[in-house]
Amino acid sequence: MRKRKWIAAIVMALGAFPGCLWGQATGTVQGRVLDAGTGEPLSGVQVMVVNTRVGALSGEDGQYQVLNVPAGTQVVRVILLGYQADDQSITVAQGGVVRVDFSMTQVAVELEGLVVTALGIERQERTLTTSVQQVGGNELALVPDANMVASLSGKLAGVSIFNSNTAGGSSRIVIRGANSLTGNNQPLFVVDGTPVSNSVGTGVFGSRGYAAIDYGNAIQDINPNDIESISVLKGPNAAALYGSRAANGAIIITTKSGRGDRAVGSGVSVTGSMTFDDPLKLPDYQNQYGQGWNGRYSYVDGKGGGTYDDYDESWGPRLDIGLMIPQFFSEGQLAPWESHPNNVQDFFETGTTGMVNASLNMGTEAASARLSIGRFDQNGMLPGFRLQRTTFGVNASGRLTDRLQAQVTAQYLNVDGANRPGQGYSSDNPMFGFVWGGRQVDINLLRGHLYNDDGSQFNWNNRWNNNPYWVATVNKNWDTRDRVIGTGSLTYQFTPWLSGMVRSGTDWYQDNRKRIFAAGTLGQSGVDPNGAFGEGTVFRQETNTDFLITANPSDFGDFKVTVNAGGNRRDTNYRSSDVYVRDLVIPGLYDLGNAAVTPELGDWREQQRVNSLYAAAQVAFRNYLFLDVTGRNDWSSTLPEDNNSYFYPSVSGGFVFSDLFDVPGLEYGKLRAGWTAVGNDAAAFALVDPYVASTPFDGVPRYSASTSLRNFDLKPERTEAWEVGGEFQFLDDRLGLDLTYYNKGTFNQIVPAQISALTGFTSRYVNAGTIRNTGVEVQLSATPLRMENGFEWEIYGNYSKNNSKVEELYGDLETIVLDTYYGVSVEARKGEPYGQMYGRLYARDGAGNIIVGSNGNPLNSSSNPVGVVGNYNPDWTGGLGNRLSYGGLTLNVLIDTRQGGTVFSMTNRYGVRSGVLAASLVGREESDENGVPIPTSEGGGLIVPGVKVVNGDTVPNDIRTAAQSYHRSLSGIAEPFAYDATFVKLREIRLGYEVPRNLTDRMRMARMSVALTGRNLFMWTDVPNIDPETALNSGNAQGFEWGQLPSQRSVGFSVSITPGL
Amino acid sequence: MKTRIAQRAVTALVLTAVVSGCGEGLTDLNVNPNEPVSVGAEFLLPAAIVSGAERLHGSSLNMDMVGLWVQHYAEHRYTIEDRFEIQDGTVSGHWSSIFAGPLRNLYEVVEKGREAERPNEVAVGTILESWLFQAATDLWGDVGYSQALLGRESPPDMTVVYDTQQEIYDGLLSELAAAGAMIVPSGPKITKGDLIYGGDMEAWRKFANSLRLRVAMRLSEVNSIGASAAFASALGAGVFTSNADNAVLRFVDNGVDVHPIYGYERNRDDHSISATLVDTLKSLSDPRLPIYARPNAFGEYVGTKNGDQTDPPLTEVSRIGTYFSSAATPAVIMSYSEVLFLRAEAAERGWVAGDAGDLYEQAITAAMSQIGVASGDIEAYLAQPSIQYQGGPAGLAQLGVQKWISLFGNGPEAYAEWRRTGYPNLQAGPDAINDGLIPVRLPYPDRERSLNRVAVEEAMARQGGATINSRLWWNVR
Repeated sequence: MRKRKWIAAIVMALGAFPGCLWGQATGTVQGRVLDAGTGEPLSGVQVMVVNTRVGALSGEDGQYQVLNVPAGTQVVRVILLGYQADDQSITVAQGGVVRVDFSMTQVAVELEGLVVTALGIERQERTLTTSVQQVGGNELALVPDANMVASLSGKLAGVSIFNSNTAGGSSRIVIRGANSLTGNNQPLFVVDGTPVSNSVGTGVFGSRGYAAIDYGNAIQDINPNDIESISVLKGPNAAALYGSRAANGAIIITTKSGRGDRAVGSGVSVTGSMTFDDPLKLPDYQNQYGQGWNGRYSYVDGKGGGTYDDYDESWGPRLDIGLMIPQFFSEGQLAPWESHPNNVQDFFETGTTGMVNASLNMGTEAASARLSIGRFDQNGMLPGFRLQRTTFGVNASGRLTDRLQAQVTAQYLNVDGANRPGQGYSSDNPMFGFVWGGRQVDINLLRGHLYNDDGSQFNWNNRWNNNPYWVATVNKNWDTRDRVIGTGSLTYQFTPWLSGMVRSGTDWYQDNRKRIFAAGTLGQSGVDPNGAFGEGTVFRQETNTDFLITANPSDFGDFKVTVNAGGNRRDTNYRSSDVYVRDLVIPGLYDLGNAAVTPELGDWREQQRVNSLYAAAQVAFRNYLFLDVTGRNDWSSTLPEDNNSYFYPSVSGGFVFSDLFDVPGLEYGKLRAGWTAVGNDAAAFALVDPYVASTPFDGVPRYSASTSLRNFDLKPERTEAWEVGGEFQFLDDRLGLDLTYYNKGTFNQIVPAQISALTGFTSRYVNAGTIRNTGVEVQLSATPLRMENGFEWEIYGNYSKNNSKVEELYGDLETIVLDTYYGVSVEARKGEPYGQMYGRLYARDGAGNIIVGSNGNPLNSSSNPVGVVGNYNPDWTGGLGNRLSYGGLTLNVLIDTRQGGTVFSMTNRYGVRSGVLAASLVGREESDENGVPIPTSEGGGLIVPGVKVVNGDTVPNDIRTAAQSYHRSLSGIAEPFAYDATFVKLREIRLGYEVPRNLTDRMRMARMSVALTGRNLFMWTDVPNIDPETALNSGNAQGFEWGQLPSQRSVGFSVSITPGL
Repeated sequence: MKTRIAQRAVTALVLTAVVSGCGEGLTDLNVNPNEPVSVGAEFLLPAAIVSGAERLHGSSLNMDMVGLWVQHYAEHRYTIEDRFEIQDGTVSGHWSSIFAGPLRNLYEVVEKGREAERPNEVAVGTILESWLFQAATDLWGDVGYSQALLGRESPPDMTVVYDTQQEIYDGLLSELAAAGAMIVPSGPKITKGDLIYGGDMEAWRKFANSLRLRVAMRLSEVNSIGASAAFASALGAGVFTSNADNAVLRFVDNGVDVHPIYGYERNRDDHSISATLVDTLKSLSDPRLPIYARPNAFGEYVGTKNGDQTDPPLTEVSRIGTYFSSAATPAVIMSYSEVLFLRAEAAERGWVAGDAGDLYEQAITAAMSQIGVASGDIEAYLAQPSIQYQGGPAGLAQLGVQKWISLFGNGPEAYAEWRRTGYPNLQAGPDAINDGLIPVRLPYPDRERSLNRVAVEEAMARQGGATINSRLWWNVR
């Protein structure tokens, strides 16, 4: 009785219900629903009288009764998940009783119908009250990509993906804008119910002067072929049950199980693919002037012994006019001064990426299992680069007793990398010598010729730059990651409506890394003459243990109630240790015993625990009105004892209004709305001030006060969000639309706020700051053509736009600088959008003309105004996929775009400064017989359009400046190198052919398909010389490009075979 | 019925297990096992000495900024600072690396010394604090002083008021006097962590008083009465009497604890000696020339004109001499010769009794012998008519030039003294921006202006805007 009361209360809370009203001329419809196959009664079947507001659910005996059915001819419809819906037409007389029985036919549950939600709970799509987008594994692996995250590009609304251009590098993924000022803004990844790490490691050797290596984000270890589906829980609303870390959304990965291919039964399936990779876009270089300075160059030793032979810039003599000049290869002799237009292109090799995957499915009535083995081999476009991944996967489940079900999933992953490139502004980045550089250099002379006779490095320059092959293949690095992700669960069915589950899962990995710097390496701080090396280990483990009780009592008439309650304990352990040796006794022996100096050591340990209890309830009314309520309480180890418990609720509702109202042309319509809060804890050790050790000075130990002040008063952070949305299917289900609007704010953020260094510290952990994100997401699916001959054309589109605003910072603080590179800072400024980029602008007069100085160059001093040069966040993003199929042929084409946003390009800035880019030719079109550009006194150089200041007034500029002087002066200003990062990419294309049955039968195959694939085939952008889709790292300071490796264009083929057994 | 009971029992068990463990004992997991939360002064002191000396004598503030402006060094290829393009990031780095580094560590040395009633540690901390605070105010003018370094102790609004430079100088003089007076040579002290004197407290007392001479003399143009009294008092309390007293951090040729200029040049070789310095040394036939500079590829000593984008090839110019760019090059925080120069000037000004000319010659002798010039060469040098001390305003000029030469390697002090005395007469390079003016201070970092806005704006307003061309309070020449 009590139960009924609170259900009634909920109904009242929802407002007076149209379904509760009835007319006067009514009758009753009743009957029984049976399984057509077994003849068993079916309970929980939704019975509705179409175009009325009445309906019922069948009971345990399959019986149902619908009262108050309007008199007249009516259609009765039965709906049950896993069964074919059925209609019967009847005539109801006033006061009469009509009996209608149904036998429902079981159908394979379509993936689209079921969606994996938080805690791995599968739900029928129509019952969802929040925005969840699901991508099938088949869609994901359509066009092979090494990085699972990168392969989501263009497929999801509301999800921004920033891919680094490095093979094996990381991708940053942010859902609905950044929540956190300075913390992690990437979603939580969950594999088979176990949260897994996506932490990126840039190295274990600390900041020792050389470039970090991008070891990739950890989630890319997952073999895309093992993925059954990916559910993207876009906001805190959908993800609230996952707790703190899901404030950024969650990405739920379900691996394939033995059940998946029910049609095949037991079977083996093999897929393989091979792609060939080459650069999508290389900078546009000039080929008219070679290395040097003011038109002069002559090589003696490459380090200043000759005429500007140490200058790694191309302001030297003109090429290809018959000049003879001593060069690095000519041993002091004169050699032809000629251009080598392909000297960068020729550095890159054709990369190959091969993937092979074999899986075995076994299934009996009681148990099923899938085993899979995957192998991924990449030899990059970059010489020496290699990445290998071997994966083993098991997914087994079985019914141990009538009531007890067990499931085990495990993945073992091994990732082996070699010679990953250094990132950013460093001679450790192979692109360094192409952003600077001499345009006359013939790269073929450097390939395979790395040493001089005396053992020193053979190169075109011996002061700043290394031979690019030296960087790529002599200064080696290796890394190996062993990783196990495993989950085991037991589910016990207490009664037909009550079950309990206990689950434990762990994600464990250990990373071993080593880097060597050979004797003779140039331009590396921390590398002494005999060479240096560093090695280290990172260990990380996260273990989650939870229990979940699920109750589905079904005896509430029109109401269906599902209750979940559970708890979780999360333990995270992290350890790293590393050693760096900056000089060796014997060159070439990279062993600790061979250290010539005291090794520098690093060591770190960290652990965290969060305990949680949570509960969720859904009330469904006649399967068209849904209400979800969740609550979760966390206790975190990283917060002060008084503040370490925090509760956060959510409530959301969904209404399938098309069940009630007949809207012409609309088959299905649902509205949803929800509100939620999510709390979050601090990083470990944020409460007590530590002291930081430095390497002892000549044996004397040193400790310094940390520059970052801790805070023992921290409170949990809080994110609050609401969203509304709707899903619509029109025109015989040939047009579908999903719209969402969201608004979320994160408050009381735990940030290391910068403070005046006069305090003795530079930052302090505080609870401060609010970021608000609002945005819209649109998903569209359409079938413009569906012809009788089987030809079908489907379109999938998505669009998203996010606006962010930093509403509050700490106290009077006006900005938090997220990072500064090369004079441009990325900031969170109060009142501005998150990710705003600031740098020096051109000095301009009132009319906007550029002001030049007395040398005729644009003013570039520190007195130039500092202003907004852009914001790295795009204005909007979108993707458009097309699928055309006819017979066994399928063509998939995916185009995606990012509109707006800013990229600050150092390749352009320094490439112009160093005179290597074609853009630096302006003003040096002509040269004299020695190849020296015509001096300004003889009409050479250029007059910069703008104004000069004479006696306080501005007059049109008439001062000639030399090209070298002008182009070099520009790098003092950020504005000219900040570009609108808009691009459109032909992201994926695939032409697949399913071999017809009669042929496969003859070959004793169950299935066989072949496909031609292409990825990143074309790009349209106005940004010169680079791919604007770039990421220096996966942190919050985006929008910087420095010496990006060219992004990969891949073409290849794939074959998938399922032999007959 | 049975299942009901079983189910209830299981549920209850699981719930109890989880709930009981929810909030308990979690705090213990948050104890940092990597870093101590408390350390002794003997570990903070060496950290402060090394980071302070590296900042003031290293490759950045010294060689790549104010050392260029006083035309000791010259920049090649990237002639940025040499043309007075001042990058905020660099200035911000100097700012935070002085305040949120050695100064905070020294503050804690002093506090711990007070709590433990170990006056020697209080004195050592105070002396070094004064050394760095003076360097900071000489770069920026008004800075936080009386209320600075209190981040952990102060309320959380995290702003810091500025003291005027005059207040800071008053503070420095009294703090140094007090520090010198509180030293108890036989008392407990830090020895191993004292990388300067190894716990020799008499030496620290002399350093405190010598530093008072430096502080007092800086006020020669604005506060000569108070300054001269302070000077006389410090001199009376005992100052450096030989090069053995010098306050020096000795870097070590062990591959790791090397002088920062040596470390810099291992990877980047783009600095040479300024033409101003080379030409001065040449014109005076100074035996220090081959110590300060290396010959170019043609065996000649050629300096580079500062702020000139013509940028001669490195083969044609002289690089920094080996003595000043070796792994074990010492950082001379304060020298006996500087004390003698200060005493000579004080005598010339009539602040204290003494023979200015004699002190001048002693100062040059000390400066030369400190870097290994043979005594015969010193005598020959001093015998030159052009070196003879002339006294009066000409004498002050000689003192200024000689001191500028002797402070090679200590850019910040040379920069301060050039601004105070106007010697030598330096001209901005041909491609310099800033209207041909050499900057006379560093701008406040943008970050400080944002984080501590009210205090900075007030300080800027009272210092005439505090642009790089606004003179400091003591700089009235």
